[in-house]
Amino acid sequence: MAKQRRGRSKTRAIGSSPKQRRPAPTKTVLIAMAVLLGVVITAVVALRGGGSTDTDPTSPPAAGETPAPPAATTPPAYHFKVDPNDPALSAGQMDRALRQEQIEIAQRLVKDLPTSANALFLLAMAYQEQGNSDEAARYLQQCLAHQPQRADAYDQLGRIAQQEGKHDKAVDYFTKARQCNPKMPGINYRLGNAYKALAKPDEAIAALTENATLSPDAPESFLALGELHLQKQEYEAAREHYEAALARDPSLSKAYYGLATAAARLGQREQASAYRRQFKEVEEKERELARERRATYDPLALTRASVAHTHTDVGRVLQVNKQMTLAEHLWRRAAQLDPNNIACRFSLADYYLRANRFAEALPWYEQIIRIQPDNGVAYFFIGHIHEKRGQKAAAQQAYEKVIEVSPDRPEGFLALARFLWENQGDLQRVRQLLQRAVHLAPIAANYAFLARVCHRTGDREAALAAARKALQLAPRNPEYRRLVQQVREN
Amino acid sequence: MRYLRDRLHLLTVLLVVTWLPARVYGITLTDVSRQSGISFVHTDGSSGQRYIVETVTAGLALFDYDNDGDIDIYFLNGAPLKGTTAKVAPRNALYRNEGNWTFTDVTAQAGVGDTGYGLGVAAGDYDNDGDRDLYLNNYGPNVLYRNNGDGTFTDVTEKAGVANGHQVGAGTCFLDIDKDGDLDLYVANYVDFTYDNHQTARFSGHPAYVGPLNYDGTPDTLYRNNGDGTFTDVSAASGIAAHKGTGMGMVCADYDNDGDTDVFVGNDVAGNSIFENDGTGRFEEVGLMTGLAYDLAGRAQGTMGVDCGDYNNDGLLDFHVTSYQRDWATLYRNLDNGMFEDITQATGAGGQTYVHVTWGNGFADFDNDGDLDIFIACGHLQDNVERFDRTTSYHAPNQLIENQGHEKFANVSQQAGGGMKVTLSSRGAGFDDLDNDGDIDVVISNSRRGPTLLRNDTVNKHHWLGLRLRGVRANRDGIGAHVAVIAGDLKRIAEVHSGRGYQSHFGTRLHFGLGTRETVDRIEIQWLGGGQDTVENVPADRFFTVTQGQNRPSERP
Repeated sequence: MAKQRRGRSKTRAIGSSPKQRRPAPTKTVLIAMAVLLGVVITAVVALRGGGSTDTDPTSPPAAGETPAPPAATTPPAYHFKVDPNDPALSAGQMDRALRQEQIEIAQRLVKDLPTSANALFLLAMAYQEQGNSDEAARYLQQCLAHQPQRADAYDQLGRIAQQEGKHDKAVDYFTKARQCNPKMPGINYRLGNAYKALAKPDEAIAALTENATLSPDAPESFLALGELHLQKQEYEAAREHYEAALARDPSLSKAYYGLATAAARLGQREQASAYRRQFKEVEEKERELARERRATYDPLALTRASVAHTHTDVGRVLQVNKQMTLAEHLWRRAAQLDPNNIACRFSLADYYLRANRFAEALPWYEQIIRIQPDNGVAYFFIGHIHEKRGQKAAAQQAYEKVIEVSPDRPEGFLALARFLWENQGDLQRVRQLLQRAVHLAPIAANYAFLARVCHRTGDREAALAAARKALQLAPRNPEYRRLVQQVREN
Repeated sequence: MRYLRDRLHLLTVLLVVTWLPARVYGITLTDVSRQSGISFVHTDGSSGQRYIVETVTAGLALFDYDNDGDIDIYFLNGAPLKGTTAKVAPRNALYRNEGNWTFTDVTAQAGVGDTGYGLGVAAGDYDNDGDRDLYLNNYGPNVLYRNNGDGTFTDVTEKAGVANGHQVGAGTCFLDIDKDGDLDLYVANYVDFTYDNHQTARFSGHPAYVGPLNYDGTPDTLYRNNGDGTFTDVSAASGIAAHKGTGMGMVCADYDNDGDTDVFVGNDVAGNSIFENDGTGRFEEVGLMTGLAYDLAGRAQGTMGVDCGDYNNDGLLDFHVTSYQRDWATLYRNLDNGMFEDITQATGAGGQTYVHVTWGNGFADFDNDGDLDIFIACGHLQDNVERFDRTTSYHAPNQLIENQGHEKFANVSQQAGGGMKVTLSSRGAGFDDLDNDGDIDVVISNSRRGPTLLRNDTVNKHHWLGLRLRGVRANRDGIGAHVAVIAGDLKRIAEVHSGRGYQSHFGTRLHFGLGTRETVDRIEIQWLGGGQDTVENVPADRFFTVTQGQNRPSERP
């Protein structure tokens, strides 16, 4: 049904019934942006470690939904030897068995795709996860033999060299990584720290300054620059950088310590004392947080998360190589191992969604919501699935939720606007939503959509302004030229 | 042509002859452990349970127990922990120095074979009777051995009142907190570990020891010497008990040069404690203000060993601490205003310590060139670390960081002889001239192994001076005295310490490298509690003893 409607809408002229009308480019843009948002949020989630859920990650879909089919028969090559819920195994035994599985799966990938730089990189990372830096370095070198311009491989080699105390080698690797990808996140920071370890403060300052320019919101560079200026006895400069770090993150104890040191060197005793007090307060909070982390420290959970991460990535490499059954198999295993892994759930949901297996996709998105209740991307696709299945109220509710949890992103506003537009919703609401959307994403397609809505509500002046803006942003787009013409003529 | 060939040959021979000494110039440490006759083997009492105390044992003491002029060795040992049985209880061991790098086990006859779980040790003449007594800081009750002066000791712990309950000990020092002429006793405590609150960790599926933050820190203990063979616990009254820490190695030194002895306790993964003495035995914790509590970046390090010395000959005591993996062993320069700065990276003093866990440490002038070098004992505390971290190792070579002058250091470990190639998991280390040949040798306590003895075979034409102090009004060994040695353009300072480095004791007899200077113009001794002695025109390359109030040194090792 939805497919038919979408097909028809392409031929509709502006001003026709909203029910049959659909601004053609909007949905594509929306999905593309949502996917992009998904990548971003997934990355953030991966960094944060996600939330928690008490739901069995491999449980069937919610009541009323079509149950997901059982996972494909385990291909022998990617057979998992251990049942992660086997009560007969101690935590230590389970831990070791899963770590072995991590390596075996990555090794299998390399066996299947021996010339794949991605596969070699993943195997290296699996070894690195387990502290086997020798093997990690060996496979990173092999990865580079197949793909010599791979910044992440050089970066990882640099990190290993740094951990081995070979800071000169680390500088070489980080420099190569930077040459391959000058905008690689954090590469200048790591290069600067390697120079710092080599007692080359000027080179360190140059790299860290570059990092501060590329990542102006990150406090780490400023902190390290403060330390370097302290070393060089440039106390005013040190103070400036520590203050800059605190402006970005007021909870950095080390910045207060640096400020106290700089003030003391400058003979500012009272200021130094004040900074020391702040340092102690913030440091005590940090120690309290560390105590809480230790109290909930669960090494097996860390292992499960690490192995799930590897499986998810292996699945993605298999996906790129069109081995979807294997990829699905690994993602399901990852979901089984780590109830908080969002990346594997997104991969599974996305796979089912692309295959129009909506009933299977939906529960994975719902699991993501349970793990991370403010995940706008999951709500977006839940809305999309409900819409596809004709469940309009549920779809609208999901899109409303996107706006609620991601008010600073345009996708929710656009999705709900389009949904209401196509379903005879309140046009004033649609207009408000689009005004917010163009504010957040001032692109031609959004202005064009707004123009159509304004025109439909009879606000010709606003419609013309929005249409002109769309044309201004995309002057070669004939559709926007026609749009301006139509609004002007009506 | 033949003439030319002969000349060429002669030139080659000359080049080789003149080049060879240049090749051997430099610090050379030779492993003489096997020939020493020392059969002591350390045990940590482990049975696979991974109790935290196993990781931190043990220190050692280098001191002259029998007053025969050479330095003897006392090794601390662990003891069977819960789950471990031993047919013969492991015990500490005292080895008498017989000269010529041979040692005799005199533990039994001396009566110092404590079977407690040894962690830290200090030697000091607490009863001022002219011989050095021993204090053992154990996991469990501590022990005070009084030296009877006849080669035997008596356990006087109970009478002295210094057992310190049942705690996890760490470093310990004798010091005179109130300048009354007798030695008081500082006892650092580590964490509140018991068998009941024991915890373990797991890294990448492999069992591992937890760190100190899994337990509560504990306050240290300070005992004041009553002068009658007994001590009084003044931890609360002195202000020490107000601060909980995770004490490890320590040293007592006059950090602010105000004429009294302060206390530096290294804390494991917590800011180090500096207890500033008000001169009467009351202390204020000022670590943060001094800049010694945290490294340059404001990080609390996993401090293990602590030592002090004037590395840049500016007349001020600087500090060196060892630390955990991925932190450098750190050098702090004294800024002469009660504050210090971490200059590790700027000077290169960190060497290759970033990779290893570092323990025993000491400032010593190994090449007698007139400045202090740094020795660092290394080895991981996780005995299976290679299984989950291949960037480091349980057994690790120790490191020798040579002072090159002008605020620069160089890691010369690879060039400093076969002794630096010994690869074990070292803990405490001590530095003294064990063969009285004028250079500083090294003794290292290794976890679960026998010790390492390194003979200093450095060849050069540098001169030196050995100096023992004999207090009269001050405590007998001159602990806390401040000494300046002036030889031409060289002025070197030192303080007499009891207890330093990683839970160890060494260096009560002071050693000064003099470089090419053949005579010491002046020795100035500022005794703790007042009084200064000056000795002039002292020949180099000898050991002297200076007695308080006498301006004429006596020559003896």
